[in-house]
Amino acid sequence: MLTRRAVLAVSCLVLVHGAPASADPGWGTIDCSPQPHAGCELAAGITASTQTPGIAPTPDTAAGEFECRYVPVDNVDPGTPHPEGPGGWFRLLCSAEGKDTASRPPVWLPAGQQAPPAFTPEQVAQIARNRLRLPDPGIALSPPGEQLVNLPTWLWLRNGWRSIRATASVPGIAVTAVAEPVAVVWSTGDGATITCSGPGTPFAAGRDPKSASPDCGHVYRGPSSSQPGGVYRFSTTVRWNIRWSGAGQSGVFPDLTTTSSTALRVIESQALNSR
Amino acid sequence: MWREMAAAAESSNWQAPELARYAAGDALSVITRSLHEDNDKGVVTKGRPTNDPKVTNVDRPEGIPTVVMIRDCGDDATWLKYRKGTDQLVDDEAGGRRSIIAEVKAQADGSWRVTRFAVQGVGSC
Repeated sequence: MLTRRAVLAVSCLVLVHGAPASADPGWGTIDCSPQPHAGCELAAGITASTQTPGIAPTPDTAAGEFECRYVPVDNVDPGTPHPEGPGGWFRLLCSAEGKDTASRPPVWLPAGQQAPPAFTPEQVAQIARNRLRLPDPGIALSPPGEQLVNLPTWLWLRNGWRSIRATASVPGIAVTAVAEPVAVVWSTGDGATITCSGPGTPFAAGRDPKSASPDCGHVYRGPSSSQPGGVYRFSTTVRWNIRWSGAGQSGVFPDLTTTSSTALRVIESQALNSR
Repeated sequence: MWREMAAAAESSNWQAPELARYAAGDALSVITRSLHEDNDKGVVTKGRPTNDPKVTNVDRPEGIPTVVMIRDCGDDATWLKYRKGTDQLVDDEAGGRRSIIAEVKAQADGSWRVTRFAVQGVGSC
């Protein structure tokens, strides 16, 4: 008897974000203390983090908002020509963690000058875009786990289909960048690529197991047994349109993508009896 | 689940099918992600952790157990990461005893799988 089991998320591998530093012991990379993952909320005092790995958001930056500011630089290249008059070298700092300096060289600010050199709104928008925290696509399939040859597979996103925004500001200019998911590309591992314009429809209990998804599905015609490792390499890529607006201007940036992948076993079903 | 992870981690095989026999959802996601990262970095994990799991709570809505919480004191002092193909440790960081909380849920097919876990730092138990 074929039983549709509760939807379970299959493995979700972040391919677009930086990996944490190596840790020696076996649990070192999944330890909650340096970098909480989903599940760490089980331990008292740890809050669930749905953010992608990377920089832990601080209260000031949790909403993707921060203000760039100039900080003094101590060690400027001695060969750098020294402007006349009192003043100092400054570097633009655009995150609370002190890591993102907007890729700009130090600038000389004469003493008493408050206003930093001009920024264009688009430059501020680039900073905002870099602050976008795009979620990993959460792959969901029905049936969960192993797929059956000739039985329609439903494809949908468990999470990761929503607008994401981040704001950056320098004195006088505030710009918001918005990422809008526009398409999901499912690479099913058997050579097929299915592009869906939405997150897909979750399989609901009580439906005919042999029914096909109304908007995003696939039918495997062959088992994965002949593949390396006996599994299909399955990946899901979400494409995001990125637009920005602020300081009376607006524009778009090239699309961004996020990807998750997993291994999927597809087997032949000898007898398919639905309930 | 840790035994299957340790077996898969000997070659950082994030696609090992055994992983999904004991883990699902976030738990499976975190494990496969970690193995995938190790694989990308050319790192494998040798040895085995030890565990001492105890059931701390059982949810029984309508008398049927559906969720079991487990508290464990695991030890990864002899489960360490090496550069692939060598006996060279990745770094000097030592393992040790770690408090682990795991959530195990009954699946609709009758099996039980770990769905979430939280591993604390060395010395937490």
